Amino acid sequence: MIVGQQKKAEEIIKMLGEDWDSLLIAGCGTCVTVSLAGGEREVEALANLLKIYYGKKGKKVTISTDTVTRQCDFEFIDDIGEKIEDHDVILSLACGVGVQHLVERHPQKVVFPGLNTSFYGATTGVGEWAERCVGCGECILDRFGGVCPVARCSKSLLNGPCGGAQDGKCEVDDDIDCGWELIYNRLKDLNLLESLLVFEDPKDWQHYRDGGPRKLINKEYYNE
Amino acid sequence: MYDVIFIGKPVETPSLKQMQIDPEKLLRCKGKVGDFSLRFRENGGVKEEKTRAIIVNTPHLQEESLPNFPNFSEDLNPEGEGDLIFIQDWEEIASAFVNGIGLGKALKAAKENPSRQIYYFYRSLRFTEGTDNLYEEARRAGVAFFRYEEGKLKIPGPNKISYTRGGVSMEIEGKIYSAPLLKPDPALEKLSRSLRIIPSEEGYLQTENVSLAPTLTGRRGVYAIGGARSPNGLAGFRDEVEFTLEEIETLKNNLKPLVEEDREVDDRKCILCYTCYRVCPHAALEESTEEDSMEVLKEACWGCNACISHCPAGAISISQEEEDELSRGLKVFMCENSAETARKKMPQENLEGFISREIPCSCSVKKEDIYNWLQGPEDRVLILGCFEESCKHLEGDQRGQRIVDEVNETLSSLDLGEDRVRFERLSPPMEKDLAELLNRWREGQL
Repeated sequence: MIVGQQKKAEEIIKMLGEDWDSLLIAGCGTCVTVSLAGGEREVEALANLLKIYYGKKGKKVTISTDTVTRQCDFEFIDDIGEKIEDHDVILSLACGVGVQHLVERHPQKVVFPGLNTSFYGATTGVGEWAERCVGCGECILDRFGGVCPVARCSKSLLNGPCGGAQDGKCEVDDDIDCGWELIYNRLKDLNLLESLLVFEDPKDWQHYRDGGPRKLINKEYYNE
Repeated sequence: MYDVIFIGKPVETPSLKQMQIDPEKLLRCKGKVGDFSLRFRENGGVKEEKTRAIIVNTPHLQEESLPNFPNFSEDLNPEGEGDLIFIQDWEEIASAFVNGIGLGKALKAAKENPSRQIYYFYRSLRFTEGTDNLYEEARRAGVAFFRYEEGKLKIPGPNKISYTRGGVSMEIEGKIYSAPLLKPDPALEKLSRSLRIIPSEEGYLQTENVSLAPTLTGRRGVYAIGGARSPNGLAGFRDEVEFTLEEIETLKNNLKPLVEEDREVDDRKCILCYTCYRVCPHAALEESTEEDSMEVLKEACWGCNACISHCPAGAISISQEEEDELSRGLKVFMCENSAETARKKMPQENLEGFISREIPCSCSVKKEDIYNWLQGPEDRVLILGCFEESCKHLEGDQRGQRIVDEVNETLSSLDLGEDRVRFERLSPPMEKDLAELLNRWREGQL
């Protein structure tokens, strides 16, 4: 899922500026709710915090809240369409996708992002997530024992580790496991170490960001 | 349906229907007290059995506290000559169980070898029924007991120790036996995950929490005995087994929920994020088999409300509970297991000027509500939880503390006041401290 982290309140307040009287904080009920950054609870907490802040400043404001199932689908955005139109500015606690989708649906509205979209990750502990995929557009997990060298190696090396790893940890940060050590250990456990002797061609990054913004069509469903 | 399934070594249960599963074969435990469902490997396949209760009984592992020296449980050499030296508590204070073994061994040695001098060095003797007699008997049989301070006993040679305490200083030669250190079975780590039990710091399934009777774990209906419960239980093993079996008899005949009000999950709001499942210290939430949402297993719930305060979708609530609108001013929230008990014993005028509420656990306070209670410039919030290791909900006090820390950090970053929310810990007999705390908080002097 997409893992997000709420921006610091200070940054949000600076971003919102002074030029508004009514604010709608719009949460997103899928990925960023699971990653505890932009669901109903976070929306309500942020609204109540901002009310304290503007109350102390003496600025008269209306702060409303709503959380839709997914901001990345128009049907859900439309559920709160009137509410969006009725407020001066919108603070979206969705990921960057949701924020932009909201903007596309309501081009006249000023929409601010309340989160930093962090990465595609998995829940690795209570309140802990870790990156597992970069969305490169061409999955190669089959050749690496199910451990992605692009996402898990800091240098995205495809033909073995660099010389900087020590005791299974990456030279970039001691908290990061060396992706290549993970790959090696996994293939060793699976008795497939020999597969690493096959040279991996340079990756075709056209499927990733280097080919420009990506778009996908499922022909079965798509109406031209 | 079994009455009890033993994970590890079974014990005799004359009136309860039982079976046994090896710890390494257990795959998963679902359900609740009175109706657990265990999946495990058997004969190359996977089997599932139902049981009302579970008892984990793994062995304790012994490690040498003094490497290269035999430990208490090894045989003494009856043919040998020279003095015998027993050393207890070299690395850490031994449990009553180890204490009992050492005393028994020293007594036996003294009786069988009247010509040899027996020395017993210890930092702490922990007596239980049975071992106090051993101590007296060993003294009468001529065992010389010496208490030593940590680091004050030295081993200069393989058969030599030097001892200093107060004005006494001596060197003794003899065969040295050391107390073993007891460690949890490595299987417990995996069991704590598959049974969803919060382990103690050392890795046992019982946390020595004052709110939990000796063999109870945080998951109702799952008990830890012997080496799964911690070395402290080994000395009173039989009593603890008896207590546990009586508990299971009671559950079997009369299983009642621990809390009156139902915690309900709104299946239209629940997004199956599993946050409640992860934060519940009592393993009382599971994915519903009927609805597309989580559900609170009523008999498993201890009523701490961690699920309600942590649900990111606001999907869990207490049935028929109305919104509690609080007026402006000083608020104090008291955990029913500590501060609230103290409050009842305190002169009530100490509460004057406060809006006070009883809460089931300090972790039940929602972040969004705290901000709501701070809307007025004079509003302040005091949350009173339990001391660590006495929180009935195991981690509740830590969660409560973290909520308050986060709120304070945010308020401070926006210049909205320092210390407007305060978290303090109390225990039930601390009514005087509570009164003082309230008075100081009222004056803004905490």
